[in-house]
Formats: sequence, structure tokens, C-alpha cells
Amino acid sequence: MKKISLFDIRNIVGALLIVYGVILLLASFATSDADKAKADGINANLWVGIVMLVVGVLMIFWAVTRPIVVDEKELEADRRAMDEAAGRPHGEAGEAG
Amino acid sequence: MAVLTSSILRMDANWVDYLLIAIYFVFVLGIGLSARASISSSIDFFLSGRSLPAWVTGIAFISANLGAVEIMGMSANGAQFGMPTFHYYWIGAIPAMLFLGVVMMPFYYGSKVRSVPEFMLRRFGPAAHLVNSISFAVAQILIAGVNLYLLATIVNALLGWTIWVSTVVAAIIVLSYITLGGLSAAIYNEVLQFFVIVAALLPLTYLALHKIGGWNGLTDAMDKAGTGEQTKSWPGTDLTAFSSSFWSVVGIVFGLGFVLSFGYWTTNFVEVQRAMASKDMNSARRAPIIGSFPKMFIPFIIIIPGMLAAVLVTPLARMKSTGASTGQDGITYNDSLLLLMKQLLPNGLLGVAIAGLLAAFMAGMAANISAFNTVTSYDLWQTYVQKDKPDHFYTTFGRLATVVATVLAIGTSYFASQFPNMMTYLQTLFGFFNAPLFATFIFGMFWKRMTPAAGWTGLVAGTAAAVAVAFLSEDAFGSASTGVLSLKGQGAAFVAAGAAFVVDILVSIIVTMVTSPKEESKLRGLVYSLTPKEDLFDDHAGHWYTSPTKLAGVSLAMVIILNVIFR
Repeated sequence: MKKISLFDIRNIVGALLIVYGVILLLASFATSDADKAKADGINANLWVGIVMLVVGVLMIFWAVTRPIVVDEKELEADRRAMDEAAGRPHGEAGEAG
Repeated sequence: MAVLTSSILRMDANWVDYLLIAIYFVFVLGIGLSARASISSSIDFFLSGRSLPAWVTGIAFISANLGAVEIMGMSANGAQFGMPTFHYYWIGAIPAMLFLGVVMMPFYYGSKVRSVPEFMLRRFGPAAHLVNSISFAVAQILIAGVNLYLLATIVNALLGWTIWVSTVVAAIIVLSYITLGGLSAAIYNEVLQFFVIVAALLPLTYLALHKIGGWNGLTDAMDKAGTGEQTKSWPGTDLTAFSSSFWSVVGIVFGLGFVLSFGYWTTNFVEVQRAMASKDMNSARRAPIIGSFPKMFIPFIIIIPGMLAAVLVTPLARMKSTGASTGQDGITYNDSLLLLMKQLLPNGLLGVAIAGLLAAFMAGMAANISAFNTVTSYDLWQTYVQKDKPDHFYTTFGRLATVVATVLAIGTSYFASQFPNMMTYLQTLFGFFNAPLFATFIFGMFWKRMTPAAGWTGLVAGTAAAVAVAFLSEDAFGSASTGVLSLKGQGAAFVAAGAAFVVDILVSIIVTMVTSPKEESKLRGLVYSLTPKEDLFDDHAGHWYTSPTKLAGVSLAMVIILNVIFR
């Protein structure tokens, strides 16, 4: 069976960047004049928020358009190989760590 | 390090910052728990490496290193010494990473060795293995102390608790991170961490440069402060503390570049293992080479902010102009980045920066602790003390080792706190541990006659030589150093590393002359001349960017250009 994964690292990076981007954008409206003055009048939260949002969306777009398909058979073969290498009976891989 | 709640280091974080930090931890622990519980077979799939794209292993490769050491150490160095700090990247790390990908990786990947002690065992036998395992375990505890100390400085800056309480709290945070499965999805965390750190440091650098009037503003300000020579990377006499420009250049090229950096990158298995998670030899070799491209630009967002902090942050600038090692409220160069963040970043972005730093230091220390745990339970205890216990015995032993290691790290974090520039301390440690290891490694790899006895005696003699140089220097061990040799700061570390390398090689040659070598049949895949050449050159690549050697050539050309532009 083959399936596409939500746990694709691009989705995870994308999700975090989008959440961060939205929070920074919201925070940018509340950035005090004192905070802006610290950064020479630049509303840093606004610009960084926009960039993070865009990069986050691109990451997810990339993951959706070019998905990595998880091949369960290959995965099973990998686990078997790992078990053999470690000299374990099959089925215990990943639990020893 | 300041202990007062009113200290100038204290961050004015508000609830938005705490929210951002909390979200980060939810992500990291969420992935860790899902990986542990095997909720998704696809996590296994990614972690087993079969489908890890080259850019992921490349980022994980440099991100495993983008921790406390790099961020705080290199920015402290930038603040104190300026542009010569770039040598750690452009003379040190990049050539070493390319060397790892082109020359060393085929051995590691081909021989299926999974740790340095394992290589030592197979190449030189039990004595070298024992020496190396002990030295590795000690090094991990000392470096964990550095990570813990820096983590505590963040907790202190954030919450204002005393450094002692902050250290204990930071240790508890790391222990819970390990217990909750934080390390089980290390590659995921490292990639996340990379993006968050870049998202924080890039705007910080931009804002600081904007404030001072760009690159010219920075050089003008440094000229005015009397540190104009620090805007040039050569000969770097401030960095080495050598009075002669010629010897300073030799020290940087041989000590920093060849011995320390090659030693660090080729024998540091926290990073090497990221590359070995790749699906085949070609991808394993390309991981450090791909990592070298972002790596060569990282100093711009770490060292430059350090240099900017030394000009923009008034207490730091005052401290630098008087040549003191501590300033107002006990600040040191280690605090450069935190002070700059406090001065420039608004709430929100501040939270992103703190989340990135906390994550990096926590993951760094957790990696040290877990490496210590593996080596003590399996390489030491199982091999030499209690051999035939059931598996769960060693698992329990490992848990105990984790707690003991964390407690020991609280002790070693105290040593670390005594150094006003963390980079100096770290390079001294690398001189003790990595320099002799690199000498023995590279010599054993290219000289098949080198004997098992030479393996361990070389290591011991090399470390002893580095420690001796540190004792004879002016300040490598603080007041315990005797000052017989007029060496100090990082120059002393370069000389100690060079001495370790040379003494290791000499002792190895002499001992090899009088002892008997290993049978050649047992060295296949471990020695260059006895490894089939098709194992070494897996260059059936379709494009130039899939060929490790060609990609390394492009990277090398770029780093040479950078060296020339910023000379």
C-alpha cells in the first residue's frame, strides 16, 4: 500500500512557519512605537511575518505538488534490514533506542 | 554572568513571545511523541532515511552543529575579534566538510561503522577503543556543560532567576526533553530549528546593519573605536594573540584550519550520522557537500551581528575599548547576541529568536547526553565491565547514565561559566580530544602498517601534549596555567592542537616500528590502500550536481571567492 504523508517534513516546517507568520502579522498591528523606534522605525514583525507566511505556504505547496509517496513494502524491507543488522528478531526495531 | 533581576541582560518578553516559544515546544514534542508511539509509519520511513531528500540531510547535517557552540561562541568571537572569526568557516569548516564528503565518507559509509569508538575497535583493537571511549565520554560531558551554561543564560535573561537556579531549571528542561522522546525525531527537529534560527538571525542582522548605516557604517564605527584592523580577516593577530603576523597565519591555517576543523568535522559523529542516514553512498557523500553551501553564508548572520553588537551595545563597546573581559552587570562577550536582540527586536520577533536559541541549546545538550549514554552503556560498561546481561539491564543502565550525565553537566557548566569567550574554551577542549583523534584516524586510514599499540599510545600521547601546552600557556586553564609559554586565548588552543597532532604522529611512528601490525585481511574497508576502488568512487552521476566531487569543486570555488572578497 502506498500513501502520502502528513508527516512530510515540508508540511511540518510549513505549518510552523505559517503559524509563526500569522502571529507575527497580528503582533505587528500591536507593535508599540517604542518597539518600532528600537528597530529604526521598521515594523520588523510585519515584514518577517509576511516572509514566514510566504515561505510556509510555498513549503506546503511543494509538498502537495511533489509528494513523497510512502511505500509500505520498502519500509517493511528497511525495517527487516535494520533488524538483521542489529541481530534482533524482526518486529523490535525502533524500540531499543 | 549577572544574577540581578534588574540586570541589563533581562529580556522584556511578553505573552506573545511566550506563546511563540510554547508553540515551538508543542511542535517538537508532538513529533517526538508521534515518532515514539509509531503513530505514523511514514515517520519511520523518513527517519530510516530511505526517502530523505538530499537537502534535508544537508540541512540536518549543519543544523546538528548550529547550536550553542556556533551561535553564541561565534558571535562572541565576532564581537571580540571581528572578521578573523570567518576563518572558522572559510578556512576551517567548509574545506573540512568537503574533505569529509569527498575522502572520508566512503570509508564510513562503506565500512558500516556507526561511531568513532567502533572504527577504533575494528582498526586498532580494544586498547585504542577503551582510550577513545573514555576520552569521548569525558568530552561529551564537558561540551554538555557548555550547552547547559548557555541554556541557563537564556533562562536567566528571560526570567531573571539567578544563574544557579537557571542552570538547575535548564537541566530539568533537558531531562524532560530526552524523557519525552525529543531525540527520537532528531532530524525533524534540526530542520525546524534551522528555519526558526535563520528567521530570527537574518532580520536581527538586517536591523543592526540598517541602524549603523550598512557595511560602511560598521567599518567607520570600528575605525572610530580603534578596532579598524578587525574589519580585515588576515593576519588575525587579535584572534591568535600571536605578535608575529607570519606565525598568526601559520597558526590559523595549520592549527585552526587543518587540525582543529578537519579533526572536528571528520570525527564528530553527531554530524556524520546525519549524513549516514542517507539512502546510498552517493547521497551520504553529498550531504556534507550540500550542507557546505548554506554553511558558508551562516557567518554573515552570526559573526556580523556579534561585530555589530560590539559597536551598537554601549556597555559592550565600553568593555571592548577598555580591554576588560567583563562589563556592566558582569556581561561578557558570550552575551553579545542576547544584548543585541534585546536592543533591536520587538516583542514577537524576540519570541521567535528565543525559541530558536532554546531549541538549539536544548537539542545540543540532549545530543551530548545521549552520545555519552550510548558510549558508557555499550562501549564501556557492556564491553569491559558486565558483559552478558540481558538487554533491559543496559537500557536501565542507560537511563541512569542520562541522569548522572545531566548532574555532571551541571558541574562542568561551572567551568564553562569561567570563560568570558566560550569559543576559546571550546577550541581548547577540541584540541585535547579531536586533534589527537584526527591524527590517529587519518594516519591509521592511510598507513596500513600502523599497529594496534600505536593506535592507543598515539591518542594518549597526543592528548597529554595538548594538556601540557594548555598548562604551560598563560590562560588556557585560567589561574592554573603557568605562563611559561607566551600563548593565550585561541592561539594557545591552536598550538595545543598542533602539538597534539604532531606528537600523536611521532609516537605512532615510533611505536609502530617496534610492534607488530594487524593482518591485512582484517583491514579491508578500514585502510585506503586495502579498500576496493569502486567502493571509493561512486561517481556514476547524471548531472554535475549529483556528483559529489564536482559539487565539492563548485563549493570550493565559491569559498575561495568569499575568502578573496573579505580578506
